[in-house]
Amino acid sequence: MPSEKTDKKELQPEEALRQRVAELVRVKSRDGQFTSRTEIRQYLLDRQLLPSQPKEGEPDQFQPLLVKTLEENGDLKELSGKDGVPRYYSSVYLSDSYVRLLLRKEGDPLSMIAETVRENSLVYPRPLPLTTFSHSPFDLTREEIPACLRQMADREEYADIQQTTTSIGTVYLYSTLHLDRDYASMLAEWLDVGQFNNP
Amino acid sequence: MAKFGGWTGKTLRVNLSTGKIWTEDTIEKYKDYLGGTGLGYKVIWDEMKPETKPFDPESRLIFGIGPMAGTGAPCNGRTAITSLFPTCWPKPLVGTGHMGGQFAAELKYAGYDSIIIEGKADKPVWLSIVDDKVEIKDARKIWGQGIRRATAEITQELGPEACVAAIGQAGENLVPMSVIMNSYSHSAGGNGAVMGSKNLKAIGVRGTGSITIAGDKGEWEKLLKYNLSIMGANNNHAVPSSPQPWAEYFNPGSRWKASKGLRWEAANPPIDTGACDPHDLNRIAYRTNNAVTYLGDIGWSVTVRENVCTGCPIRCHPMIKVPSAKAKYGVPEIGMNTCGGLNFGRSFFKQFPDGPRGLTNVEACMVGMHMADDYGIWCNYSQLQRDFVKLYYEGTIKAKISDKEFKSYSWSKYEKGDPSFLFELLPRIARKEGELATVLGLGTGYLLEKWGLSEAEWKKDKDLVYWKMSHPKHHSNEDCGQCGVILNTQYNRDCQCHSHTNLVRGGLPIQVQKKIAEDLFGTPDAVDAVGAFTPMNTGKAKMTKWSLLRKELHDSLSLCNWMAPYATSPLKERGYKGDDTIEAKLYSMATGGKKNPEELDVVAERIFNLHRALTIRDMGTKEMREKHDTIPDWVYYDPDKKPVYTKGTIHLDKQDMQLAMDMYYEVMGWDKKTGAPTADTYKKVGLARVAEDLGKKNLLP
Repeated sequence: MPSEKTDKKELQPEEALRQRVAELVRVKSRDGQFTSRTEIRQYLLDRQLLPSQPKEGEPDQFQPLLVKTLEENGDLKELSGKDGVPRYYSSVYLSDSYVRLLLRKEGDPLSMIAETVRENSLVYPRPLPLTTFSHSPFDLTREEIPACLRQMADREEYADIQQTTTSIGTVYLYSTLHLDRDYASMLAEWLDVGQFNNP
Repeated sequence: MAKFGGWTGKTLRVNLSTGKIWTEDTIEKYKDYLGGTGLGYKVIWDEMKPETKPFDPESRLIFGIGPMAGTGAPCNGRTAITSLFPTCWPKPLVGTGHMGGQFAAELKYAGYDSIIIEGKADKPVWLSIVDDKVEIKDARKIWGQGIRRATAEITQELGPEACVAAIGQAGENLVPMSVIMNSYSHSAGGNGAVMGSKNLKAIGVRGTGSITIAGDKGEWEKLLKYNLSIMGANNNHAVPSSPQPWAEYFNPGSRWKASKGLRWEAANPPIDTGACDPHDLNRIAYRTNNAVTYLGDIGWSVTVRENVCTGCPIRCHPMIKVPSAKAKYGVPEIGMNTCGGLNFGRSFFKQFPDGPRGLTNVEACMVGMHMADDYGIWCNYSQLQRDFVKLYYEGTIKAKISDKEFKSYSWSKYEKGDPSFLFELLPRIARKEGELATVLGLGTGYLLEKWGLSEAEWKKDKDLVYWKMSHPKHHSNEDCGQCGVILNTQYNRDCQCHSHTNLVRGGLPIQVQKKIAEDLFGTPDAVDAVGAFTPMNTGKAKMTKWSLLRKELHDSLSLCNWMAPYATSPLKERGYKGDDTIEAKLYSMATGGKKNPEELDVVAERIFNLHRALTIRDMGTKEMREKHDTIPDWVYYDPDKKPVYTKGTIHLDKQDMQLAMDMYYEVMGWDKKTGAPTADTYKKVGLARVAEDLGKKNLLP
């Protein structure tokens, strides 16, 4: 585990600083979050590990520190969201698929729902219950979800996202790009009712 | 005789007719059958005549325990109770009730590998085992009492660390649909009445010894840690039910319910289950929450914790707290059980006033669980309840019982989904009071026979999932197509096999499953996505044989087939592969009798072929294909008439299933025409004398 470094050798101050940055990113990753440049800088400033302003005539230490930290810690990754701003995470604690979910969450909720439904319809394959989107990491409210679905129904780019309702009234979403209606309905019924009745 | 680890070396024998108590050398007599079901089948083959009936004094009741029990191997709490199954219709045949709990390890610590009971006591007795002191004791004080009172009384006498396996009033009254239960809530279904027929109320065990591990202790510890590292949640579900930061995949149907913010709310203080990274072995116990699996999200609000069998980190046995059940129905507010035991009460009802996943549903579970687990009634994988619902709503009950008896039940309560209805029904089943309760207690086949109903009709009803011989399907085509169907043809009760379902229902994407199947069975086509089944192939035949043999292996070693075999793991770095050689590693190191996986599979093959031989001998026919390995009509039926092997249907093709049976018999070394093992196959697996005996009776193909 990267956070449990047992190497007892004394770290040089710069090296120790980079380890603290790496640790910050890992802890946030473990909690399912990216870390932004601003957060890292603020973390260091709060602990007076970085001067609030570069000394006159000297370059800003922050960017080189970040670059070197990434070089030394292979699990730390940088990626850009749709806003072009870099985020950092540890690939040990954040899986690729969770990273994709977090990026989707930063964007339009309609797109987040659609892309997640498409991925599930393709990969597993299966429809997804609507309730999935009210839980972490999606965290849409119970009011937001139907509002999103209403908007999606009017937009051509989401025409493949369809609903099926099980015999006990649970609504599932699927993509017609990967599942046909009958198959999606059968799978929804199996997931929602069949597995309960066939333990 | 060589010394082995794992086994204690002694098998306890008790004749209740004569009062004789003695021991046999386990190694000398039973090592080639391991223990558990293997030992049970061996005893029945050697000692019981085909004409023996389940409740005859000559009938054997075998508490079979294997060399892994009590060793520290993960999930070693299994006891296989083998006897003639009184519910098996039209003729009782060999069957096994499987219980977890603490009984297996405690018996091993007392110095015994298994217990073989024969005879019939002339008055109610219980068997006291305290290390090498074994006594038959008067049980008249506890006869007529429920399992809980009996357990408490015996524990008072033997001490709080003792383990008690007892029957309730149902077993005493020879109700075929009855259980033997240890540790208050861990039940073995189907042979409670066999125990009752012997006037044996309970077995209380206290053991202060230990089990020797033959191998190096350090290596053993490493092996156990390795085993833990490839385990998922209950049924070895390999992915969490919701997206987790560490997880590449998730599956809403997974039994791996843990997530940050989801708490066991009825614990004091509530416990956050957390993200449960699979590398953190100290968090395995938080992964599964079967209150949520069976009850829905309301399960979080009632969970106190998850209860456990010996050596199991998974904890599939939820303890729930439902104060309203106590307030409204007077049952204890805390209860625990899993699967059919937890679902016992609610499964009688078609509907509840607050919907299928509301509080009334939970309360019905509590009422049913407390009553069934005390009276010792068996659900037969909920076939009892499915039969009841059909019989009521189709008007059969009203037609078949007297008007007076019909009016003695509060049917309006029943239709509304009022759990208090169970107070009217369940005690009567245990006491055989009235026509309805008595027939329900017989098991499906005998019920149908007594009421002049057609078994063929039951076999057509898809919702009943009735299979044959009184018993339902257990993970058949709905999970695993042809493989599931074949497995369900093989036993004389519901097949209780999880080897296949653990692989296909664990939540991994179909392409990952196919990669694992390719490694195990030589082709990715051995598994299909649910509802996208394809025709039979050799991979599926191999998978079926593997599933069956591993089940018997687990039941004979005392490893839990609700977890093993570990075909998959939750580890991305392993490509989600598990390790199906783990049983051989555990066996070799614990016992010192080294066997590679192929050699251990031959032992499993010996054990299942003996089960097959017993079935052939006691049915008096070798025509297994036609008369035993039958498939109900509903397997071939689709309500929407979708063509077979198209997406969106799970029904199978009759002709293809004939091919499937051919291919299965072939990989098993059995005759395709009859479905009976050949003499060569018996010899190959070490059952030459069995073949000779069957040959004399013209029961070889």
